[in-house]
Amino acid sequence: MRKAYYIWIIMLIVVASETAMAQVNLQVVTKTIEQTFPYETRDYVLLKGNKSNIEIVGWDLPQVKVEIKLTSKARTKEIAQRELEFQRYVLEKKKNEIGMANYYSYPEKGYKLQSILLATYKIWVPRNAEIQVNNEYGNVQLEELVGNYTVGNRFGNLTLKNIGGNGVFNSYFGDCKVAELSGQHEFTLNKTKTAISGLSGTASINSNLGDVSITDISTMLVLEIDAVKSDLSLSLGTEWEKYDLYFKSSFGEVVVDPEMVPNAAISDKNDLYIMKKRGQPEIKATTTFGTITIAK
Amino acid sequence: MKRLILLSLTAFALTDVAYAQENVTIEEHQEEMDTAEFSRLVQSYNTIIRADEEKLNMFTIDLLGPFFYAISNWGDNKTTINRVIDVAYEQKFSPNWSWIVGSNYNADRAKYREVKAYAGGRYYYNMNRRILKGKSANNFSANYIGSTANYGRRFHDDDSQVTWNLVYGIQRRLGKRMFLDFTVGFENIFSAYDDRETGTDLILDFRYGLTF
Repeated sequence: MRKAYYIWIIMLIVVASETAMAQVNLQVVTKTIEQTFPYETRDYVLLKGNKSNIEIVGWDLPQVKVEIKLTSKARTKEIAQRELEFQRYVLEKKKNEIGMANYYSYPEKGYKLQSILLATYKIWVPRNAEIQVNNEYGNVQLEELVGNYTVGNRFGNLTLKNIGGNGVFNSYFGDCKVAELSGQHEFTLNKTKTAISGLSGTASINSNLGDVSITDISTMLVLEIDAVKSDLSLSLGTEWEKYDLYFKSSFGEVVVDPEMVPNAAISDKNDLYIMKKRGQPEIKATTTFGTITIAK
Repeated sequence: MKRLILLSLTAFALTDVAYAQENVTIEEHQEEMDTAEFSRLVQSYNTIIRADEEKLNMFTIDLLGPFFYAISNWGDNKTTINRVIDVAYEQKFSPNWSWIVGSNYNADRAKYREVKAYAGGRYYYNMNRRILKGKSANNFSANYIGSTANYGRRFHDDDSQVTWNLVYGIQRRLGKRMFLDFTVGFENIFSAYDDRETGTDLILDFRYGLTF
């Protein structure tokens, strides 16, 4: 009993010391840059993010407010302070363009970083603002906007909340989460898993190697999904009979809620489902090597 | 000419002060992180961050002048004066501003004609725009407005010339070791060679060569 007691003590010490050794105390230095620009008609926001997290929120003021946080985390304060200076930014308004960008500049080629460098943007813009965003290795989030957008993001997540207006969204390698989307939008998604809840208006989705799931469809004018090697899942809502429906999966299957079958044409191989009444808004989805699941 | 200078300087000043209410704060704190996680993140950041090299100085040697000199074997020698040697050194002192000094040795196939030296500054006005568009911004690839004071000397005639140039230029680095530099502008001659007159001339220049 006594021996077992000692063994427990030793194990506790070993585990505790390993836990203590596994933690590193980091010095964090954050530079915050704030700037406000007046927003006039025909102004637009151009953002070139580089390994940054971006959040853009619509507000009612005729101003664009930008808050950029550049952070450096390192073992010593000296390293953190020195390498924070490698993070550069551009923040300017010229004519109608409100431009912002962050980039990295090393003192010499092949420099090896010793710290974690982070960049985050929080931007408030008028709801109807025109926005062009290009980012990689970070997340982009847009909220409460009804303007025109062109958003491209690589290796990061794209999140849209309460978005109207016209948008062109490109995503490569990441998740795309959308809540309450109306207006006219175009998605080009590559290796991106997409979940949309609350969709109305006109939407065109092009997906390659990424599953697409859409729930709560309402007042849809046109929905067209063209996918490759992707599973599609659509919940059409209680008003599903208001639409012309066309679903086709080449080398795959279309799985339909049994209650939606009687008035529709379904192929023998279950790879094609058509229910068309002339003049109705159309919901069309095609994919290859994937399953299309349709529910009410 | 004075109006042009004043206008240029005012334009530069305005672009810098129009939205000067930028507020910058720096905070410091400590936090703990798993050692393995920290090392992994630093390693992956080194992989994914595409950083520009902060090149603050550039030494250039023009190759076009020597090339044209080498092939200028025809006609009247005096009509084909070339820059046989043209070197320059440029140093950045702020992201958009640099100073430059240079010298060139001009000759035709018969004899050397003159030696020129110049010094001045350049304002790269579209550096930020290139960064916003995701283009290369390695500090010397941009468009600029430049101003140089030039001194030329013809030793064999014991004659000299002093000019002040205001130019618009497009400079790009091509790969690691090449560059091109195109300039167009005005040459204001204060003190002319005997065979020239003081006044303002248009100038056009193209340099292409090696950079270090």
